[in-house]
Amino acid sequence: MAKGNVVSKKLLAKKDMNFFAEFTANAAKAARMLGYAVAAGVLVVFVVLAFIVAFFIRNTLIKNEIKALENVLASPEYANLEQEYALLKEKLNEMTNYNYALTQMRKTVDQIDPAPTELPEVLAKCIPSDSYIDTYTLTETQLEFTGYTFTYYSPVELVYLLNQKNVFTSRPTVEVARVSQESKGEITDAQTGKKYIDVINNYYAFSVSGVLVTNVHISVTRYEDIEGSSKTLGGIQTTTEKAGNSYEITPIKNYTYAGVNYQLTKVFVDDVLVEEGSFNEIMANDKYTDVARKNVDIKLFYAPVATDAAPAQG
Amino acid sequence: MNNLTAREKGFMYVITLLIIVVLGYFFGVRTLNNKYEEYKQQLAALEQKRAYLDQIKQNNASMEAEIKLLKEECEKLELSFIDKIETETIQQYVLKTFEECGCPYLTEMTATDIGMPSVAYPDGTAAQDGLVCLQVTVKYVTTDGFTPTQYNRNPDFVPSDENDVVKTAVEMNDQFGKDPFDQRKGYNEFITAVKKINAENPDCIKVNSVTAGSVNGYMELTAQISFYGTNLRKRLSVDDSTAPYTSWSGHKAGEIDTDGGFIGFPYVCDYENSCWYGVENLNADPTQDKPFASYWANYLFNQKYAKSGENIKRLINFGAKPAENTEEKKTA
Repeated sequence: MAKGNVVSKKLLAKKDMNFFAEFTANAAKAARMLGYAVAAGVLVVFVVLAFIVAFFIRNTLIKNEIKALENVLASPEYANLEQEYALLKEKLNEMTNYNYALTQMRKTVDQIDPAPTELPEVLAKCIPSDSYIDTYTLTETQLEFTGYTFTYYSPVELVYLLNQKNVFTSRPTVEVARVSQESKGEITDAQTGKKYIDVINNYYAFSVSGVLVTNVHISVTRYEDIEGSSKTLGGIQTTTEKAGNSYEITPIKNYTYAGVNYQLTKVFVDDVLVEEGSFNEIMANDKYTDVARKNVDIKLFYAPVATDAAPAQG
Repeated sequence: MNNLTAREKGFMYVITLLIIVVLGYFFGVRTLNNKYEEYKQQLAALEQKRAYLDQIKQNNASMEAEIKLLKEECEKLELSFIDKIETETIQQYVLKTFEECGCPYLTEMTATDIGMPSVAYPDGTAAQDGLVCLQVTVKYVTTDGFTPTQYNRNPDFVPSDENDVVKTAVEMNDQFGKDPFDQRKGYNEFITAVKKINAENPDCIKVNSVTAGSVNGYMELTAQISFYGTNLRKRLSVDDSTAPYTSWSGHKAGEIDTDGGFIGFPYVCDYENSCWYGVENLNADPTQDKPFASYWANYLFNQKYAKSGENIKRLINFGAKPAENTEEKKTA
């Protein structure tokens, strides 16, 4: 029994040892696994927390950014911009109307040319020595005079000299007529009471009437081409040209007013729409040209050119 | 827990971790992320608003610049017209210009308001601002190169102690056709004046017409001049112009002698302070009925003076002129 017990004890001890060793190894493995699991758990929690913290920080940053932007937008610089815009728009409209009214007045006055007051001196230098001017009337557009002459060539020579100085636009009318004996009549001597006929050479009465070389006034008005809008882009621009001269309006295709860019859409000349072919030519050459024959009223219509987020004015 | 096996414990552990992760995701990460998206949208909206406001700001600046330009242009346009059209100021300027140019023989001057076209806004509504035009017409004459001249009491023929009318007339009689009356003056001077007025301010003063014609050896010269002004409700500019046609350039109020002015000319002017002192009213007809007098008085007056052609001055105790008194005594 004792021997058997000894064996058994040894065996048992060995088994125990194995068991403990195995147990210890399992325990160590379990502990290691537990450690890994805890570490993994902590890591996961940490990652989750890290994300939360990171996202929180990110949100805080963006919130700060929003707040900063809100503060900027609430600052006096931005807070009243829209009201300012509305006020300025109204003021601009008011000022544009006022400017338009003033330019309209200016146009009215500019279209009235003064009488060429240098012409009497020119006329005086052109009178042949056998002639005299009895009456003359000089207006903005016309010169009329009457006079007397001993030779019938003189009136036409007078007109020739005036034409040499480019006084008349078109052919003037010249009338010459001999002063008849009857029209002169008899003269009664105041002292003697005797009647007699004044002895004088034949002479002629003449009258001349002509249209003067005048100025032509070109007025240009720019309108906004928007349905229902009658807004002008600035006032009326009136320029003066000598009759017969050519003139041009350039650049004409694009126009900028109050920071807004516009493009030409149509042209009216004396309220008559310029036809498509001519309009395309105007657009291609970026200019309108014509000869100054008479006063002209040109209306240019422009549409705003679309820009990003730009609120349309006016 | 103690009854649980290691596997079960591990499973529970994993479950717990999953719950933590899920809770962390749903209540932490996802919420924050959603919030972040909201914030992002909010920020984007704000940035868009800022961009919009920046654009408005830019437009405001452009509009302000345009308003400034328009204001300057309007002020310039306003000043291109006469601020206040004052008839007397303009007429004084016209008369002075002609006289300074050597053309003093005025025969007529008129001033007429000319109706100007009404002003309308681009939409067709009538503007309350308007254009004003005053047209001054002056008629002067030249001399005839023979007859002695007189204007504005130069020389003076109003009877006075210093001025003997008869003596002056006799002196003048010898001057016909002699220097300085032997030249016809006034035409070149008239043209010079007209040119000067035309060049004064072409924006608002325009000579409309010039007419010349011969009459009895002298010339009658007419000029029609238009002065343009405005009637503005809200004027922007201040016109401090001292041009002779915008501000009075004649005698000041205190400098004008008004002591001898009177209303209604009697038979003979006996107002000593008046320049008409001693002048007989040639327009008065002594034979006319006088409502203030009785029929008898009228009758006697006509009998005594009108019919006999007596000098009416004798009826009135006129003046105290030694010369006239002597003459009266002589006549008596």
